[in-house]
Amino acid sequence: MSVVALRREPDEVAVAIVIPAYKQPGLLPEALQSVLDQRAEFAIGAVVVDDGCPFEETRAAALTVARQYPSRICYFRTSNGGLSAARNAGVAFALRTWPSARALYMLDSDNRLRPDFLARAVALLDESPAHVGWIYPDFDMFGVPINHSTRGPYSLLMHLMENTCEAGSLIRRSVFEAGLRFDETMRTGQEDWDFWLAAAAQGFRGRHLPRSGFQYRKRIDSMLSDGDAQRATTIAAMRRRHRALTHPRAAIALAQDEMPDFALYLDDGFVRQIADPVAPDESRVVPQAAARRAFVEALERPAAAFFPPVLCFADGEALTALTVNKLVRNVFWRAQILLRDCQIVTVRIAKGEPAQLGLRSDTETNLEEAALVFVRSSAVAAWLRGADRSRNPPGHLKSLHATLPADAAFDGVAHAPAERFEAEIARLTETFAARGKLGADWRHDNRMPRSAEAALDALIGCRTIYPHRKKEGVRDFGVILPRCEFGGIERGKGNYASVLRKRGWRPHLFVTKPTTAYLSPLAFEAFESVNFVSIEEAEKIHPGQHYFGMWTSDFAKRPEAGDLIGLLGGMDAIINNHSFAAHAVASRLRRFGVNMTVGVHMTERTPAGNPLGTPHSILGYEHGYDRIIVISDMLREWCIGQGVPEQKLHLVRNAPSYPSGKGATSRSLLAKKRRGGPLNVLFLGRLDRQKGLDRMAEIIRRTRGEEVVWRLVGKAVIEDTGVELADAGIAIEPPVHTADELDALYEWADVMILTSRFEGVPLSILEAQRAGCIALSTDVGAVREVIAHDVDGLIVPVDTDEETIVRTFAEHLERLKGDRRLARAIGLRAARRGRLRRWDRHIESWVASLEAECAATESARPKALRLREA
Amino acid sequence: MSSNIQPAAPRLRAFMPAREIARNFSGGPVLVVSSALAEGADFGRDTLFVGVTGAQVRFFRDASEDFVEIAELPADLLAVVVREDEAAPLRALWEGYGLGPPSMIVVAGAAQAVGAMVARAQAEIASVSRRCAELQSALVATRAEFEETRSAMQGVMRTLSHRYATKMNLVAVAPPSRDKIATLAPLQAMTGAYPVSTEAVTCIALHVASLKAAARAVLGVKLLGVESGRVLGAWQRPGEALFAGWNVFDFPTPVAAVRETLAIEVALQGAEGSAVALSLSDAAEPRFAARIWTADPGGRFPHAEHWVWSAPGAVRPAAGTVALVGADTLSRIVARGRIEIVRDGKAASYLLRGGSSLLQLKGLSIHSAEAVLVELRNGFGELRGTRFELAVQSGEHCFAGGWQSFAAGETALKLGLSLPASLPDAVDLYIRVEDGERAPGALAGFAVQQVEIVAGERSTLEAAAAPRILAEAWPPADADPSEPCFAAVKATNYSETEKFAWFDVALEGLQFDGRVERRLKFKISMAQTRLSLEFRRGPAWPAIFAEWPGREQDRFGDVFRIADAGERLAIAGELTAAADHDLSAALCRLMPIIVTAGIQSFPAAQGRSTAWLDAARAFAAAADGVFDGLAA
Repeated sequence: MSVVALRREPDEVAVAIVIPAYKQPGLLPEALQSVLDQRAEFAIGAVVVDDGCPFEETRAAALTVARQYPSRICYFRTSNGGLSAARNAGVAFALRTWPSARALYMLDSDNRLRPDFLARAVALLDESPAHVGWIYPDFDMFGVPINHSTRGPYSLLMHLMENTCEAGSLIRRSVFEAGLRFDETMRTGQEDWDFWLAAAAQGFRGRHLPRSGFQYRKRIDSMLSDGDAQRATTIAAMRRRHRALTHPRAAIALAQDEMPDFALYLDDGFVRQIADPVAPDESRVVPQAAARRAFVEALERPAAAFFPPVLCFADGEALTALTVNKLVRNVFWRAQILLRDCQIVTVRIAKGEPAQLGLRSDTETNLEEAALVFVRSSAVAAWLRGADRSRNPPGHLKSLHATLPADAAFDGVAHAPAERFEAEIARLTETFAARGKLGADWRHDNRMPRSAEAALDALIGCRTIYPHRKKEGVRDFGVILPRCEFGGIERGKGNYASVLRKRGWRPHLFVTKPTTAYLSPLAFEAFESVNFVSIEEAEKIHPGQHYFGMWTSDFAKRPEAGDLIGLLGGMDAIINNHSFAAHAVASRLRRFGVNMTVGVHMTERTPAGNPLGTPHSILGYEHGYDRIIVISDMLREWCIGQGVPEQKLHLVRNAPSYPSGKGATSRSLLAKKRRGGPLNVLFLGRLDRQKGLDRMAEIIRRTRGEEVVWRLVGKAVIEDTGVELADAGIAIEPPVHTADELDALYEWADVMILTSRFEGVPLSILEAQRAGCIALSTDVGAVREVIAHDVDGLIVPVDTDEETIVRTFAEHLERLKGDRRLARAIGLRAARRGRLRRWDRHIESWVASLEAECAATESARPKALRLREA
Repeated sequence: MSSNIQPAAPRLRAFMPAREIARNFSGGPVLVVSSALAEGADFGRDTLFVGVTGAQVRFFRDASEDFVEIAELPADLLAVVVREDEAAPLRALWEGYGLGPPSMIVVAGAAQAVGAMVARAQAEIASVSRRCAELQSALVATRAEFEETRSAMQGVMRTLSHRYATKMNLVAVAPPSRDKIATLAPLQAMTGAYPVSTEAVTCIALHVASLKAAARAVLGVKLLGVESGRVLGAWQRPGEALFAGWNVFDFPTPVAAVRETLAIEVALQGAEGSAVALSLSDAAEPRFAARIWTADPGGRFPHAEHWVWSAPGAVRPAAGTVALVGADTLSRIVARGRIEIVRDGKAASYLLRGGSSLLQLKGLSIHSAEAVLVELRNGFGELRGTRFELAVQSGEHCFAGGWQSFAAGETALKLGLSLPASLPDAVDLYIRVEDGERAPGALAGFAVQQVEIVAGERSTLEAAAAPRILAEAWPPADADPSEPCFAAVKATNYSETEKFAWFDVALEGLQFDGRVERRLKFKISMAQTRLSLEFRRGPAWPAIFAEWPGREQDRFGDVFRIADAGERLAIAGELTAAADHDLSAALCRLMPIIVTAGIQSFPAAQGRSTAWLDAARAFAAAADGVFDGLAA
């Protein structure tokens, strides 16, 4: 027995041991003796808490020792309250009795300590930073002889999955002074796990003590075994209680902190473990040699050590080009998904059309000239182990092809990473071959392998996480579009993004269907990132599942839904515009704390008369959205009529999709005023069937001549249409995107014509009006809300036959041609009205309510404290 | 509504000076006395006072201290001595804390309490005594069980020690680094931990890189269980017994069921200037290059050389337990006098040439041993007239076991010696041999089959001293280390006719001129008195020649023969490569030993053993001339 630990004065006690005692009178002396045997240069005090034990021997056994060690081994009795209550009573007693104790140790009365245990544990605690709240041992069991290792850096994420910390841990006094106690309602086990998670939420972390000398008595009918039946229920309740840690937002951040997905190899000899390629964590930069050892360590001991599951060898210039052009996060996310089914993903970069961005996958090829090479760590592990000697099995290689705008600053790959990749694999092979054959521990490690993906899948039900780190005080806004070209909705949402950007948000674009997109300069500037979801058939509607005749999606049942949730779950708010895949996961995203808005733009019907379009589809998913934006009074009324709660509806009227150039409106009005000659008629928009192109062709045929000059600008987006205009004898001009080009068109035009069969609130009308053009449109959608007939534009009724419609259009043009004064007057009034329309004003109400709710959500969300500081 | 409802009494709360809490919850039993009764009375120095004021109950030894509220009540109470008016509130206090009321002595004055207090004290003493008696009984029963268990265990160990050792398992290898060493100077110590459990460890080996003046030093090695810090094995190995390379440290028996992390501590003691450089492994955690073996519990009882029996945790072996001296130790036997050594790897046989000879094994540990047993095996030839005697010697003291000979028809001879208590723990062991006159060609050979150390109490009776053996006076007979040698020979397929005899040989580890040939295969035949060797080329034959020297073929294919053609060798081919020349020369020179070792496997060959040996010697003599000539 060491007298050192017990000889000192009570007020010098550095460590207090709490020993709850209940029905273990024969074993309690062993526990006490192991306390007396501690070899330490500091003073130890211990208290036995008799938890109302019905056996008189418990009292006698404790008092036998307590009488011999006044002020050092104490004893008291409580009414039976269970293990947690007894520990808490002991903790309270120890804190009060030994104010000098800087740590407390929980020793169960049937366990034992080897003589150097406390000295080792205290030494480790003393050398640890203040946030290390507890020192935990391996599970060295006796009785049933089992030894389980808990070695390696502490991982809170993995601790959420399984309890890796024994109750017999040394706990810093500050943990208890933070008010933490064992949950006395938990009487079927896991109370220690619960305690650690509560401590973690308070900013404390554990630290493993190797070769500690803790001895855990394992009996066949131990409490943990008894608790097995209730284990799942208890754990689920416990995780719910610790929402500060298990909330999706918290769990994702934790995963990114502890287990970043990527190891980035640039050509500077260092490896960066990153969760976000745009915001790498500079604290995780190590020389390549050290990274190799870490890789091998994780390969050999996956439960004790971690290495990112994806290696990325990158050319610095290419990485910069992808970053500048907003694609880099999407590239990393897509690569990680593709790597599920292959070993290597290469990334090639090419330039496309102006304003074009894209990312498509392919099965390919070879590594040469790839700008980035992604490799699955598990594939490398298999190569090293020799289990998979072939580095070229069929389909082992896939590729991603990134398209940058034609004017992107990228001159090709400077330092192709393929060679570095091959060299690194060779060096890894050497490191693996030279590794020690001894292993790290003789104990078994039966913990789960360290995997953020597996943990997040189990905890919050999402798979591949978007490589995007949240930024303190900055909210992220997701815009979901099934496609993104130059349609009105896309242009409108580009303006949403622009306004939100100015208010401090980070907008992100998510395109669910195609693998290319076209962004206006305004949208390109506004979006923080551009992402192609590229989940096969994500937008496929379920043919057999209708909601009042409207097709719906069963995407939520597919495992890929976990990827979409991983992609979008980090957003603070999302606006979905017509994506069925997003509808399907909307309610799950809400549970992630994402504020969900859906945009409603028009009502339409299939040729067979079935309802079609967002307003109808959202009716089946209305519960998944916090807000519904409508762009017209008509739509708002329709939604109310369909039973959508009025409070959810936000009327956000459209505005011109781009800010006109300086003086453009004045120049346009002046030009129209001065101009004589023919009437200039412009069609500007997508050449889709929806636009009534057959009507337009007929109108052109009837009106075209020296006095009426036509220009058609646009291209087909949705369908391969436009053939109706092939015989019109007018060359269709390609779409234009810049403000100058658009201003020039509107300056040229006296009339902007729209023959659509259905519309929402066409932006081209609003832009034309701003430039003093006469908008001449069919009476569809909410056109009446933006054109006052014969006042600031002209409307053609559509509740009649086609001939009448065409004739009416032709008559209006004839009238304007003949009465230029009337035309100028209408144009002037249109310009006055158009100038008043601005996006920032229109969305103010919605944004204000969104921001208020986000603030409320954020303040209501339980927060785990940052790591404790001294 | 009933009118009997009483307003709830305020819950009583307990207070105590903060500095007194630890003392008041330990070091009992304590007498609690009402402060109201204490005035003018002497309840002794170790009394805890209690006072009730309204809803507050104060416990104290020194009332001047600052009081804090306590959530627990003192539990180790001899009695609570109070006045009538305090009894009810104090009972309520204990009940309010969810506990049964304490033993109370309710009195009007202090003097009235004495009788009851004495009764309580007597009851407590009786209670403690009763518990003490119960524990004593339990201790007796436990000790009896332990003694029986220990006796049974000793019996089991004794029995197991007489059985063949079980297989050793090499469970860990920390290979020596090319460039990392740890040089220990005297009084320096180092420890390395290994990710290996101590359970069942039976043997470790450390790799010595180099030695400096090691003869003046002792290397202390300990095997520790890291978690408990226990020493599970300790050795003190003299520097002269160390060598560059793997040095083995045996446990007397495998470590019992101790599941802890294994650590090795190494310390050097000795004169200044001595040093031992141990190789380190390349692991991130600094540790010695080591090999670690386990074996089944009780599966191995080697003679643990340089084992420190006095080390904590080292348990004396049960009486009658037999420890087998290992082959490494036996290979240190030095032969002196008229005797010829025939080595077969580590094993050696001794050819007698008549006259006296001596086998010497220095520094044998006999700690805890009561006897030494040596078993000799008759290799071949007639040994009935040869006498053997076992002796041990330390300093001036020499004790011998008496002369013995092989009995007729026996192939084994056991020499035994009871060890007197006066001997130290390490002695030199000798086997004296008196062979008388031996006719030329009447060769005989024997081997030291095993040396056993029998554990037990030594006799304190004064043993008769034998004349001191002066080993240095005997010329050493060991083979020249520069001569070719081999590790093992395996002979098979012996056949003989009246004029012809032959067998197949598989030779392993042939060393010559710094070269090692892993495995060779050839046939040795004897026609009349002339020996010849036959090598073949084919899938079943190791390719040992750089250029196939043979020029002949028979129905089995290519063949190369070297035959004794009478004072010269007939080589049926051409040894053009120098390596092949050297190989053949080495083989031919070793032929007497190869043949001697080989024919021991065949009882049928014993009748011709002399003829075989003569033929082999003649062959070797002829080879000397031929190969020397070729070399020239």
